Amino acid sequence: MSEPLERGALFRRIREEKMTMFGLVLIGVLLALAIAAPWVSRHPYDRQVLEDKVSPPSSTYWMGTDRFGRDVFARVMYGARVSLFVGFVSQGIAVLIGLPLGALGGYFRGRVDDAVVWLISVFWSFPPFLLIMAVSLSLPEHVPGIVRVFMAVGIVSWVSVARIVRGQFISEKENEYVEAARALGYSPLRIIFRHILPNTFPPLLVVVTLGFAGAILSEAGLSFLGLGVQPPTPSWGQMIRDGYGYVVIGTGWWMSVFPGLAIMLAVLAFNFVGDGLRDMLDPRLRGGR
Amino acid sequence: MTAYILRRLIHAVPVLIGVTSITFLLIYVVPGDPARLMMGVRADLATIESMRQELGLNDPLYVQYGRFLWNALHGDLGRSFATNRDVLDSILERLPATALLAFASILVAVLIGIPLGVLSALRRNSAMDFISMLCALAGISIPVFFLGILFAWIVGFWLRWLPVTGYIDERGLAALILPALTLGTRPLALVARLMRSSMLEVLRREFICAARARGASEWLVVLKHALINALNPVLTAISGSLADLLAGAFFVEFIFQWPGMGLLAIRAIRTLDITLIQGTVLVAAVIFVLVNLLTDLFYKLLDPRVEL
Repeated sequence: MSEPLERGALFRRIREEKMTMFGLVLIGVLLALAIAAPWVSRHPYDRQVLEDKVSPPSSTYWMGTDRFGRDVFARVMYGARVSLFVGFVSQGIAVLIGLPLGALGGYFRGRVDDAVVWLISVFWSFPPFLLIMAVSLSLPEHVPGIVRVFMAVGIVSWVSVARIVRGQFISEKENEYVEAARALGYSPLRIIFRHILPNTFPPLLVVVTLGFAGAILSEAGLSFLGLGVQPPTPSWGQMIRDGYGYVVIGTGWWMSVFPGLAIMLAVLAFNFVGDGLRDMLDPRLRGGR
Repeated sequence: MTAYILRRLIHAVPVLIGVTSITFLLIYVVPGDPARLMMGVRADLATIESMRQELGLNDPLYVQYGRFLWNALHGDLGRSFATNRDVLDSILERLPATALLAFASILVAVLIGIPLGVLSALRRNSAMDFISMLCALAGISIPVFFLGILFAWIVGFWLRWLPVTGYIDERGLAALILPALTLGTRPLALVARLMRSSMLEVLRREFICAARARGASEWLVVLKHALINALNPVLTAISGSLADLLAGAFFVEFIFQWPGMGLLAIRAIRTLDITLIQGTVLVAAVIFVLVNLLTDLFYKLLDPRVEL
């Protein structure tokens, strides 16, 4: 970390960065649309009007209809709910697993750290999406699709959280305030949670924000392969899957293009915010992974 | 160097043990009885029970794990539940197609991404810089399967320029273009962005000033002094994008019906062919570990100062 940011400075700099601001606004709009989906859309997302099936965008159906005559616009709105929900819960799981593991390894080092590092490198050895797929397949049959998705994404993405938290702990431990706390006889748990942990939050925020973008992509990918959210719940990936047979033979581009654009915008928004936060916290990392 | 390679290999052993354990455990907990899956729904209980015996499914977990590990070490990943073919054979047969696709995508990323990044850096804040960086951002955010569908629709269906399905053996190299472009877009975007920022950073350094002061031509300064020095982080990024490529290959192979490992894995998932899924995950992870090891070695050869 370059220099610690005092409270308030972060928000001031966010406002100065156009890209980050744009990303935040986009996330806000997405969130608002997801919440207001039932009121914004003029048709219920699951109503099938068979005489209107596969009709192009019009004043009645802003984004056209799918092969069952369902309103694509309403389904895109509802799809935002799934994407954001999966993002929130999966990143929550990732923090719940990754934070304690990273903190323990970074604080105690030695054997504990060896175990944590081993676990991290084992998980790091799988191509992430492959592991997400395998985990989602291995959950019991009665687990609903959406739970499958956020469990799998969370179980796989704790690694990035643990890595960053561990790194922060290792460097923070060298600071004098930690030594002072130890000299005062505070317990390791108190030092970990009360003293060091708050200092890991800024980089953690970056990882979680970028992880959010990754989670949206993973959910879309799983649902596209038919392994994710199951119908009739609309999800963007699943909509692309449903429509793509029509798109590639040129009879219904709207079915896949609108949900595809929605994914792009959502991912873009979280990437903007994540990158922006990272640049603010440590300009040296600009453009890195 | 030998000592370094040895150390890295020794470090890889516990990691690979962990990788095999996870692969084994994942599949062990997969819902459904493998014996029943193999024999079909109409098989009677006695047949299924004898199949369970034959597959060793009644043994304790650690015995099954030991056997799995031992067999895997000997290159025996079992037989496919669906086709009864040797799993490793089926995977190795599909490997060249995926390798070709990945290689072509990297080529796309390097051949377009590096010049694009360099030009953007040289014409900083120009319209060209702005547009190409905007495209790069879009390239990073677009899901690979959506991009594939768009390419198939626009280039394949609308313009009818290129074949949308098929492999090079029947359609020639033209069949490779769309899949490679689709898979290469994300690494291309990453390379272009990174190349630009790395180039901007190097161009600020003193030795660039010194070279200019000596009267070196602008081209010489850019190509010989700046580009060479700016390339290192880009090379790491390319090796880092391997994970993306392997994941993306799934979708690309599915959309363009490219007969690689990804298509095989998708079929395995559809039919719940557990041994085949297990084999693909394991092989992909081993390839991933090996390639990462090789890039680290390569990196060290390029720049001996690097501590890994």
